[in-house]
Amino acid sequence: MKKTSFVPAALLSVAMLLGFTSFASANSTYIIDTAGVHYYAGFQISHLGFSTMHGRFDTLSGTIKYDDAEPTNSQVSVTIKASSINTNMAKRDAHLKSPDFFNVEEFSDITFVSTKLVKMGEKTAKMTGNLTMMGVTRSITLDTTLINIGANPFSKAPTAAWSARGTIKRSDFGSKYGAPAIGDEVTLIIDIEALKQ
Amino acid sequence: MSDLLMNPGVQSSLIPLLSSLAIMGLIRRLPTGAHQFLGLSVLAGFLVASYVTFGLPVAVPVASGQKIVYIAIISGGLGLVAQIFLRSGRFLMLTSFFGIILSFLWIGWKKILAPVSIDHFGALLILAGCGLAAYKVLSVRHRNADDTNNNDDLVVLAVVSIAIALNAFMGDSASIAQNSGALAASLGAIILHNWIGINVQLGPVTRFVPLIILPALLAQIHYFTKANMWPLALLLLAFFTGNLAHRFVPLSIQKSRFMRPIIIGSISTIPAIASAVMSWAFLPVAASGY
Repeated sequence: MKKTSFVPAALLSVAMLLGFTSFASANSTYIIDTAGVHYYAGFQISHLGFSTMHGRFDTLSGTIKYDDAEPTNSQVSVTIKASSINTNMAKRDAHLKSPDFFNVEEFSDITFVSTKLVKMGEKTAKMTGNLTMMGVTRSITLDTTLINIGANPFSKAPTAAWSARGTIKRSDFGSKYGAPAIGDEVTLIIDIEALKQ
Repeated sequence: MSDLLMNPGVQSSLIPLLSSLAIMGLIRRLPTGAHQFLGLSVLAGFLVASYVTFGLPVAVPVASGQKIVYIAIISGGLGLVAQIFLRSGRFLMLTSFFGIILSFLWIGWKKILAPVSIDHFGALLILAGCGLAAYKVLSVRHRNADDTNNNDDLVVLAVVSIAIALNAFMGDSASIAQNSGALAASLGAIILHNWIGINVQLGPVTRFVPLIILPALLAQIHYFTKANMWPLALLLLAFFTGNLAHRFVPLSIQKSRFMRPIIIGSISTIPAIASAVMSWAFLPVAASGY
Protein backbone atom coordinates (compact mmCIF):
# COMPACT_ATOMS: atom_id res chain seq x y z
CA MET A 1 0.00 0.00 0.00
CA LYS A 2 1.32 3.34 -1.04
CA LYS A 3 1.96 5.63 1.88
CA THR A 4 0.55 9.15 1.63
CA SER A 5 3.28 11.74 1.99
CA PHE A 6 2.87 13.71 5.22
CA VAL A 7 3.55 17.20 3.78
CA PRO A 8 0.93 17.26 1.00
CA ALA A 9 -1.65 15.76 3.38
CA ALA A 10 -0.97 18.45 5.95
CA LEU A 11 -1.20 21.19 3.36
CA LEU A 12 -4.48 19.75 2.12
CA SER A 13 -5.84 19.67 5.67
CA VAL A 14 -4.88 23.30 6.31
CA ALA A 15 -6.43 24.35 3.01
CA MET A 16 -9.67 22.51 3.84
CA LEU A 17 -9.72 23.99 7.30
CA LEU A 18 -9.25 27.54 5.96
CA GLY A 19 -11.97 26.98 3.38
CA PHE A 20 -14.35 25.62 5.97
CA THR A 21 -13.71 28.46 8.37
CA SER A 22 -14.28 31.02 5.69
CA PHE A 23 -17.53 29.33 4.66
CA ALA A 24 -18.79 28.82 8.22
CA SER A 25 -18.26 32.37 9.50
CA ALA A 26 -19.71 34.22 6.48
CA ASN A 27 -19.39 37.42 8.50
CA SER A 28 -20.33 40.72 6.91
CA THR A 29 -19.34 43.96 8.53
CA TYR A 30 -21.86 46.75 8.35
CA ILE A 31 -21.10 50.32 9.40
CA ILE A 32 -23.93 52.62 10.48
CA ASP A 33 -24.62 55.15 7.73
CA THR A 34 -23.46 58.27 9.53
CA ALA A 35 -22.77 60.20 6.30
CA GLY A 36 -26.39 59.95 5.29
CA VAL A 37 -27.58 60.26 8.92
CA HIS A 38 -29.76 57.22 8.44
CA TYR A 39 -30.12 56.52 12.12
CA TYR A 40 -32.12 57.58 15.13
CA ALA A 41 -31.32 57.07 18.80
CA GLY A 42 -34.16 58.40 20.88
CA PHE A 43 -35.55 58.11 24.35
CA GLN A 44 -38.80 58.72 26.18
CA ILE A 45 -39.19 59.63 29.84
CA SER A 46 -42.03 60.73 32.08
CA HIS A 47 -42.03 64.45 32.87
CA LEU A 48 -43.39 64.99 36.39
CA GLY A 49 -45.99 62.30 35.80
CA PHE A 50 -47.70 64.39 33.12
CA SER A 51 -46.35 64.27 29.60
CA THR A 52 -43.88 61.90 28.00
CA MET A 53 -40.73 63.78 27.11
CA HIS A 54 -39.05 62.78 23.87
CA GLY A 55 -35.39 63.34 23.13
CA ARG A 56 -32.69 62.01 20.87
CA PHE A 57 -28.94 61.82 20.40
CA ASP A 58 -27.79 63.37 17.15
CA THR A 59 -24.35 61.75 16.89
CA LEU A 60 -23.64 58.06 16.97
CA SER A 61 -21.50 55.50 15.21
CA GLY A 62 -21.30 51.76 15.20
CA THR A 63 -20.56 48.44 13.59
CA ILE A 64 -22.60 45.31 13.09
CA LYS A 65 -20.73 42.09 12.39
CA TYR A 66 -23.56 40.20 10.78
CA ASP A 67 -23.34 36.45 10.45
CA ASP A 68 -25.41 35.57 7.39
CA ALA A 69 -25.40 31.87 8.15
CA GLU A 70 -26.22 32.15 11.83
CA PRO A 71 -27.54 35.60 12.71
CA THR A 72 -27.47 34.85 16.44
CA ASN A 73 -23.67 34.92 16.18
CA SER A 74 -23.79 38.54 15.03
CA GLN A 75 -22.20 41.26 17.14
CA VAL A 76 -23.24 44.87 17.56
CA SER A 77 -21.20 47.78 18.87
CA VAL A 78 -22.61 51.32 19.06
CA THR A 79 -21.14 54.53 20.50
CA ILE A 80 -23.34 57.55 21.15
CA LYS A 81 -21.96 61.03 21.85
CA ALA A 82 -23.75 62.05 25.04
CA SER A 83 -23.19 65.73 24.27
CA SER A 84 -25.32 65.40 21.12
CA ILE A 85 -28.49 65.16 23.20
CA ASN A 86 -31.33 67.13 21.65
CA THR A 87 -34.72 67.74 23.19
CA ASN A 88 -35.52 70.72 21.02
CA MET A 89 -34.78 73.21 23.83
CA ALA A 90 -31.26 74.57 24.38
CA LYS A 91 -31.70 75.33 28.09
CA ARG A 92 -33.04 71.86 28.87
CA ASP A 93 -30.30 70.26 26.76
CA ALA A 94 -27.68 72.19 28.75
CA HIS A 95 -29.22 70.88 31.98
CA LEU A 96 -29.32 67.31 30.62
CA LYS A 97 -25.61 67.59 29.77
CA SER A 98 -24.76 68.73 33.31
CA PRO A 99 -23.74 66.47 36.23
CA ASP A 100 -27.44 66.28 37.18
CA PHE A 101 -28.04 63.88 34.30
CA PHE A 102 -25.64 62.74 31.56
CA ASN A 103 -22.58 64.54 32.96
CA VAL A 104 -21.12 64.79 29.44
CA GLU A 105 -17.91 66.58 30.43
CA GLU A 106 -17.02 63.67 32.67
CA PHE A 107 -18.49 60.85 30.55
CA SER A 108 -18.55 61.79 26.89
CA ASP A 109 -19.65 58.47 25.38
CA ILE A 110 -22.55 56.09 25.84
CA THR A 111 -21.63 52.65 24.49
CA PHE A 112 -23.45 49.42 23.81
CA VAL A 113 -21.72 46.15 23.02
CA SER A 114 -23.86 43.07 22.41
CA THR A 115 -23.08 39.84 24.21
CA LYS A 116 -25.90 37.51 23.23
CA LEU A 117 -28.63 37.23 20.62
CA VAL A 118 -31.61 34.95 21.02
CA LYS A 119 -33.78 34.43 17.96
CA MET A 120 -37.48 34.98 18.65
CA GLY A 121 -39.12 35.02 15.22
CA GLU A 122 -38.00 35.04 11.61
CA LYS A 123 -36.78 38.64 11.83
CA THR A 124 -36.87 39.34 15.55
CA ALA A 125 -34.45 38.64 18.36
CA LYS A 126 -33.69 39.55 21.95
CA MET A 127 -30.32 41.21 22.06
CA THR A 128 -28.49 41.32 25.39
CA GLY A 129 -25.47 43.56 25.77
CA ASN A 130 -23.49 45.84 28.01
CA LEU A 131 -24.67 49.42 28.10
CA THR A 132 -22.14 51.84 29.59
CA MET A 133 -23.54 55.18 30.59
CA MET A 134 -22.05 57.73 33.01
CA GLY A 135 -19.21 55.30 33.70
CA VAL A 136 -21.52 52.50 34.85
CA THR A 137 -21.91 49.29 32.83
CA ARG A 138 -25.11 47.25 33.09
CA SER A 139 -26.44 44.36 31.06
CA ILE A 140 -29.65 45.25 29.22
CA THR A 141 -31.87 43.44 26.76
CA LEU A 142 -33.37 45.04 23.67
CA ASP A 143 -36.06 43.73 21.33
CA THR A 144 -34.55 43.91 17.87
CA THR A 145 -36.06 43.55 14.43
CA LEU A 146 -34.28 43.13 11.14
CA ILE A 147 -36.15 45.56 8.91
CA ASN A 148 -34.50 44.76 5.59
CA ILE A 149 -31.27 43.49 4.13
CA GLY A 150 -30.30 43.76 0.47
CA ALA A 151 -29.20 46.21 -2.18
CA ASN A 152 -30.08 49.89 -1.84
CA PRO A 153 -32.46 50.54 -4.79
CA PHE A 154 -30.60 53.73 -5.75
CA SER A 155 -26.91 53.22 -4.92
CA LYS A 156 -27.08 49.41 -5.21
CA ALA A 157 -24.83 49.29 -2.11
CA PRO A 158 -25.49 46.28 0.16
CA THR A 159 -27.47 47.73 3.03
CA ALA A 160 -29.22 46.46 6.15
CA ALA A 161 -31.51 48.08 8.68
CA TRP A 162 -32.49 47.14 12.20
CA SER A 163 -34.60 48.61 14.95
CA ALA A 164 -34.18 48.09 18.69
CA ARG A 165 -36.51 48.92 21.56
CA GLY A 166 -36.01 48.54 25.27
CA THR A 167 -36.46 49.99 28.72
CA ILE A 168 -33.83 50.82 31.31
CA LYS A 169 -33.81 52.41 34.75
CA ARG A 170 -31.55 55.45 34.80
CA SER A 171 -30.98 54.99 38.53
CA ASP A 172 -29.16 51.73 37.66
CA PHE A 173 -26.57 53.97 36.01
CA GLY A 174 -26.28 56.33 38.97
CA SER A 175 -28.60 59.00 37.54
CA LYS A 176 -30.97 59.66 40.41
CA TYR A 177 -31.46 63.39 40.13
CA GLY A 178 -35.11 64.47 40.10
CA ALA A 179 -36.42 60.88 40.31
CA PRO A 180 -39.17 59.82 40.56
CA ALA A 181 -40.76 63.15 39.49
CA ILE A 182 -38.64 62.95 36.38
CA GLY A 183 -39.14 59.29 35.52
CA ASP A 184 -36.67 56.63 36.48
CA GLU A 185 -37.76 54.38 33.62
CA VAL A 186 -36.45 55.38 30.20
CA THR A 187 -37.64 53.87 26.92
CA LEU A 188 -34.94 53.53 24.28
CA ILE A 189 -35.69 53.65 20.56
CA ILE A 190 -32.88 52.92 18.14
CA ASP A 191 -33.27 52.66 14.36
CA ILE A 192 -30.23 52.23 12.15
CA GLU A 193 -29.36 51.73 8.54
CA ALA A 194 -25.90 50.31 7.88
CA LEU A 195 -23.73 49.85 4.82
CA LYS A 196 -21.82 46.67 4.11
CA GLN A 197 -18.05 47.16 3.96
CA MET B 1 -44.87 64.74 53.54
CA SER B 2 -43.08 62.90 50.74
CA ASP B 3 -43.87 65.84 48.43
CA LEU B 4 -42.11 68.11 50.92
CA LEU B 5 -39.08 65.80 51.08
CA MET B 6 -38.89 65.80 47.29
CA ASN B 7 -38.85 69.59 47.06
CA PRO B 8 -35.28 70.59 46.05
CA GLY B 9 -35.49 73.77 48.14
CA VAL B 10 -36.43 71.79 51.25
CA GLN B 11 -33.81 69.12 50.49
CA SER B 12 -31.02 71.65 50.45
CA SER B 13 -32.13 73.99 53.23
CA LEU B 14 -34.58 72.77 55.87
CA ILE B 15 -33.45 69.14 55.91
CA PRO B 16 -29.72 69.84 56.47
CA LEU B 17 -30.50 72.69 58.89
CA LEU B 18 -32.84 70.60 61.05
CA SER B 19 -30.62 67.50 60.84
CA SER B 20 -27.62 69.53 61.91
CA LEU B 21 -29.58 71.10 64.78
CA ALA B 22 -30.82 67.66 65.87
CA ILE B 23 -27.30 66.23 65.97
CA MET B 24 -26.12 69.27 67.93
CA GLY B 25 -28.96 68.68 70.38
CA LEU B 26 -27.83 65.08 70.81
CA ILE B 27 -24.19 66.03 71.33
CA ARG B 28 -25.21 68.72 73.83
CA ARG B 29 -26.84 65.97 75.93
CA LEU B 30 -23.51 64.17 76.18
CA PRO B 31 -20.90 65.05 78.85
CA THR B 32 -19.20 68.44 78.38
CA GLY B 33 -16.04 66.84 76.96
CA ALA B 34 -18.03 65.73 73.91
CA HIS B 35 -19.15 69.29 73.08
CA GLN B 36 -15.93 69.91 71.15
CA PHE B 37 -17.41 67.56 68.54
CA LEU B 38 -20.44 69.77 67.86
CA GLY B 39 -18.87 70.49 64.48
CA LEU B 40 -19.78 66.95 63.40
CA SER B 41 -23.30 68.30 62.96
CA VAL B 42 -22.11 70.07 59.78
CA LEU B 43 -21.11 66.71 58.31
CA ALA B 44 -24.33 65.08 59.51
CA GLY B 45 -26.55 67.77 57.98
CA PHE B 46 -24.71 67.53 54.67
CA LEU B 47 -24.90 63.72 54.54
CA VAL B 48 -28.61 63.56 55.46
CA ALA B 49 -29.41 66.10 52.73
CA SER B 50 -27.35 64.11 50.25
CA TYR B 51 -29.15 60.88 51.19
CA VAL B 52 -32.60 62.45 50.88
CA THR B 53 -31.69 64.02 47.52
CA PHE B 54 -29.58 61.34 45.82
CA GLY B 55 -30.00 58.17 47.88
CA LEU B 56 -27.14 56.06 49.12
CA PRO B 57 -23.87 56.52 47.22
CA VAL B 58 -22.58 53.60 45.19
CA ALA B 59 -19.78 51.51 46.70
CA VAL B 60 -17.28 52.43 44.02
CA PRO B 61 -17.93 56.02 42.98
CA VAL B 62 -17.28 56.76 39.35
CA ALA B 63 -18.96 60.12 38.99
CA SER B 64 -17.90 63.33 40.70
CA GLY B 65 -21.31 63.71 42.37
CA GLN B 66 -20.83 60.40 44.16
CA LYS B 67 -17.26 61.26 45.16
CA ILE B 68 -18.45 64.37 47.02
CA VAL B 69 -20.14 62.19 49.65
CA TYR B 70 -16.93 60.25 50.28
CA ILE B 71 -14.91 63.47 50.39
CA ALA B 72 -17.29 64.78 53.06
CA ILE B 73 -16.92 61.61 55.15
CA ILE B 74 -13.11 61.60 54.80
CA SER B 75 -12.89 65.29 55.72
CA GLY B 76 -14.95 64.58 58.85
CA GLY B 77 -12.65 61.68 59.73
CA LEU B 78 -9.57 63.83 59.20
CA GLY B 79 -11.08 66.58 61.33
CA LEU B 80 -11.81 64.12 64.12
CA VAL B 81 -8.29 62.67 64.07
CA ALA B 82 -6.87 66.20 64.10
CA GLN B 83 -9.19 67.22 66.92
CA ILE B 84 -8.43 64.23 69.13
CA PHE B 85 -4.75 63.60 68.51
CA LEU B 86 -3.00 66.37 66.65
CA ARG B 87 -3.95 69.96 67.30
CA SER B 88 -0.76 71.67 66.27
CA GLY B 89 -1.39 74.57 63.90
CA ARG B 90 1.19 73.35 61.40
CA PHE B 91 -0.34 69.88 61.19
CA LEU B 92 -3.84 71.28 60.72
CA MET B 93 -2.65 73.57 57.96
CA LEU B 94 -0.72 70.85 56.13
CA THR B 95 -3.56 68.34 56.44
CA SER B 96 -6.09 70.82 55.12
CA PHE B 97 -3.83 71.74 52.17
CA PHE B 98 -3.44 68.07 51.29
CA GLY B 99 -7.17 67.53 51.72
CA ILE B 100 -7.99 70.46 49.45
CA ILE B 101 -5.57 69.39 46.72
CA LEU B 102 -6.57 65.73 46.85
CA SER B 103 -10.31 66.42 46.78
CA PHE B 104 -9.83 68.79 43.81
CA LEU B 105 -7.65 66.22 41.98
CA TRP B 106 -10.01 63.31 42.66
CA ILE B 107 -12.96 65.21 41.20
CA GLY B 108 -11.20 66.67 38.20
CA TRP B 109 -8.40 64.20 37.34
CA LYS B 110 -9.84 63.29 33.93
CA LYS B 111 -9.79 66.94 32.91
CA ILE B 112 -6.51 67.67 34.63
CA LEU B 113 -4.84 65.00 32.46
CA ALA B 114 -6.24 66.65 29.31
CA PRO B 115 -4.01 68.86 27.15
CA VAL B 116 -3.10 72.18 28.75
CA SER B 117 -5.80 74.80 28.35
CA ILE B 118 -7.19 77.87 30.07
CA ASP B 119 -9.10 75.41 32.31
CA HIS B 120 -5.81 74.48 33.98
CA PHE B 121 -5.11 78.10 34.77
CA GLY B 122 -8.59 78.43 36.26
CA ALA B 123 -8.04 75.30 38.33
CA LEU B 124 -4.76 76.66 39.71
CA LEU B 125 -6.45 79.95 40.53
CA ILE B 126 -9.26 78.22 42.37
CA LEU B 127 -6.88 75.88 44.20
CA ALA B 128 -4.69 78.80 45.27
CA GLY B 129 -7.81 80.61 46.50
CA CYS B 130 -8.94 77.56 48.47
CA GLY B 131 -5.47 77.20 49.98
CA LEU B 132 -5.44 80.84 51.05
CA ALA B 133 -8.93 80.45 52.46
CA ALA B 134 -7.79 77.43 54.47
CA TYR B 135 -4.80 79.39 55.74
CA LYS B 136 -7.12 82.21 56.77
CA VAL B 137 -9.64 79.93 58.44
CA LEU B 138 -7.15 77.72 60.27
CA SER B 139 -4.65 80.38 61.22
CA VAL B 140 -4.95 81.24 64.90
CA ARG B 141 -3.32 84.63 64.46
CA HIS B 142 -6.50 86.38 63.45
CA ARG B 143 -8.59 85.13 66.35
CA ASN B 144 -9.65 87.23 69.32
CA ALA B 145 -8.82 85.92 72.73
CA ASP B 146 -12.43 86.31 73.86
CA ASP B 147 -13.83 84.23 70.96
CA THR B 148 -16.14 86.98 69.68
CA ASN B 149 -15.02 86.06 66.18
CA ASN B 150 -15.69 82.35 66.68
CA ASN B 151 -18.44 82.46 64.09
CA ASP B 152 -16.64 84.59 61.47
CA ASP B 153 -15.23 81.74 59.41
CA LEU B 154 -18.45 79.78 59.45
CA VAL B 155 -20.45 82.81 58.33
CA VAL B 156 -18.05 83.38 55.43
CA LEU B 157 -18.03 79.67 54.55
CA ALA B 158 -21.83 79.67 54.51
CA VAL B 159 -22.00 82.79 52.32
CA VAL B 160 -19.43 81.28 49.93
CA SER B 161 -21.42 78.02 49.82
CA ILE B 162 -24.59 79.91 48.90
CA ALA B 163 -22.71 81.79 46.18
CA ILE B 164 -21.29 78.49 44.86
CA ALA B 165 -24.87 77.21 44.73
CA LEU B 166 -25.87 80.25 42.63
CA ASN B 167 -22.88 79.73 40.32
CA ALA B 168 -23.71 76.04 39.95
CA PHE B 169 -27.32 76.85 39.21
CA MET B 170 -26.25 79.21 36.45
CA GLY B 171 -23.87 76.54 35.19
CA ASP B 172 -26.97 74.36 34.75
CA SER B 173 -26.32 71.96 37.60
CA ALA B 174 -29.02 71.83 40.24
CA SER B 175 -27.39 68.87 42.00
CA ILE B 176 -24.17 70.80 42.71
CA ALA B 177 -26.31 73.77 43.75
CA GLN B 178 -28.22 71.54 46.15
CA ASN B 179 -25.02 70.12 47.66
CA SER B 180 -23.65 73.65 48.13
CA GLY B 181 -26.95 74.81 49.61
CA ALA B 182 -26.96 71.84 51.99
CA LEU B 183 -23.45 72.72 53.16
CA ALA B 184 -24.53 76.33 53.78
CA ALA B 185 -27.62 75.21 55.71
CA SER B 186 -25.60 72.76 57.83
CA LEU B 187 -23.17 75.55 58.66
CA GLY B 188 -26.19 77.77 59.36
CA ALA B 189 -27.24 75.48 62.20
CA ILE B 190 -23.95 75.85 64.06
CA ILE B 191 -23.87 79.60 63.31
CA LEU B 192 -27.34 79.91 64.86
CA HIS B 193 -26.20 77.86 67.85
CA ASN B 194 -23.20 80.10 68.42
CA TRP B 195 -25.16 83.26 67.74
CA ILE B 196 -28.13 82.83 70.02
CA GLY B 197 -27.00 79.89 72.16
CA ILE B 198 -23.79 79.08 73.90
CA ASN B 199 -20.68 80.18 72.05
CA VAL B 200 -18.64 76.98 71.81
CA GLN B 201 -15.01 76.75 70.78
CA LEU B 202 -15.01 75.28 67.28
CA GLY B 203 -12.56 72.47 66.73
CA PRO B 204 -10.85 71.37 63.49
CA VAL B 205 -13.72 69.05 62.55
CA THR B 206 -16.04 72.06 62.10
CA ARG B 207 -13.64 73.75 59.72
CA PHE B 208 -12.22 70.72 57.88
CA VAL B 209 -15.56 69.54 56.51
CA PRO B 210 -16.52 72.73 54.65
CA LEU B 211 -12.90 73.59 53.76
CA ILE B 212 -12.40 70.25 51.99
CA ILE B 213 -15.88 69.95 50.44
CA LEU B 214 -15.72 73.45 48.90
CA PRO B 215 -12.78 72.73 46.52
CA ALA B 216 -14.51 69.51 45.44
CA LEU B 217 -17.69 71.43 44.61
CA LEU B 218 -15.64 74.13 42.87
CA ALA B 219 -13.79 71.49 40.81
CA GLN B 220 -17.13 69.98 39.81
CA ILE B 221 -18.50 73.35 38.71
CA HIS B 222 -15.26 74.36 36.99
CA TYR B 223 -14.76 71.18 35.01
CA PHE B 224 -18.20 69.75 34.44
CA THR B 225 -20.60 72.68 34.04
CA LYS B 226 -20.83 75.72 31.83
CA ALA B 227 -20.01 78.07 34.71
CA ASN B 228 -17.19 80.53 34.07
CA MET B 229 -14.00 80.28 36.17
CA TRP B 230 -13.56 84.00 36.89
CA PRO B 231 -16.66 84.39 39.09
CA LEU B 232 -15.52 81.33 41.07
CA ALA B 233 -12.09 82.85 41.65
CA LEU B 234 -13.65 86.20 42.58
CA LEU B 235 -15.87 84.46 45.10
CA LEU B 236 -12.92 83.32 47.19
CA LEU B 237 -12.15 86.97 48.02
CA ALA B 238 -15.00 86.64 50.51
CA PHE B 239 -12.59 84.94 52.90
CA PHE B 240 -10.64 88.16 53.24
CA THR B 241 -13.55 90.49 53.88
CA GLY B 242 -13.09 89.98 57.60
CA ASN B 243 -9.97 92.12 57.30
CA LEU B 244 -12.14 94.94 55.95
CA ALA B 245 -14.41 94.61 58.95
CA HIS B 246 -11.44 94.90 61.29
CA ARG B 247 -10.32 98.07 59.53
CA PHE B 248 -13.56 99.93 58.95
CA VAL B 249 -16.14 98.69 61.47
CA PRO B 250 -16.14 100.38 64.90
CA LEU B 251 -14.60 98.21 67.62
CA SER B 252 -17.78 98.31 69.73
CA ILE B 253 -19.72 96.61 66.91
CA GLN B 254 -16.90 94.16 66.28
CA LYS B 255 -17.06 93.20 69.94
CA SER B 256 -20.82 92.64 69.85
CA ARG B 257 -21.57 88.93 69.58
CA PHE B 258 -24.96 89.74 68.05
CA MET B 259 -23.81 92.31 65.46
CA ARG B 260 -20.50 90.80 64.44
CA PRO B 261 -21.84 87.85 62.34
CA ILE B 262 -24.26 90.23 60.62
CA ILE B 263 -21.46 92.63 59.71
CA ILE B 264 -19.09 89.86 58.57
CA GLY B 265 -21.91 88.19 56.64
CA SER B 266 -22.91 91.44 54.96
CA ILE B 267 -19.36 92.31 53.90
CA SER B 268 -18.61 88.83 52.60
CA THR B 269 -21.82 88.96 50.61
CA ILE B 270 -20.30 91.70 48.41
CA PRO B 271 -17.86 89.42 46.51
CA ALA B 272 -20.47 86.65 46.66
CA ILE B 273 -23.05 88.81 44.89
CA ALA B 274 -20.42 90.13 42.49
CA SER B 275 -19.51 86.54 41.64
CA ALA B 276 -23.14 85.56 41.02
CA VAL B 277 -23.76 88.65 38.85
CA MET B 278 -20.56 87.99 36.89
CA SER B 279 -21.57 84.35 36.42
CA TRP B 280 -24.98 85.47 35.15
CA ALA B 281 -23.31 87.90 32.73
CA PHE B 282 -21.17 85.05 31.34
CA LEU B 283 -24.15 82.74 30.80
CA PRO B 284 -23.89 81.10 27.39
CA VAL B 285 -27.66 80.59 27.08
CA ALA B 286 -30.41 82.89 28.31
CA ALA B 287 -31.51 81.68 31.74
CA SER B 288 -35.05 80.51 31.94
CA GLY B 289 -36.96 77.68 33.55
CA TYR B 290 -38.51 74.95 31.51
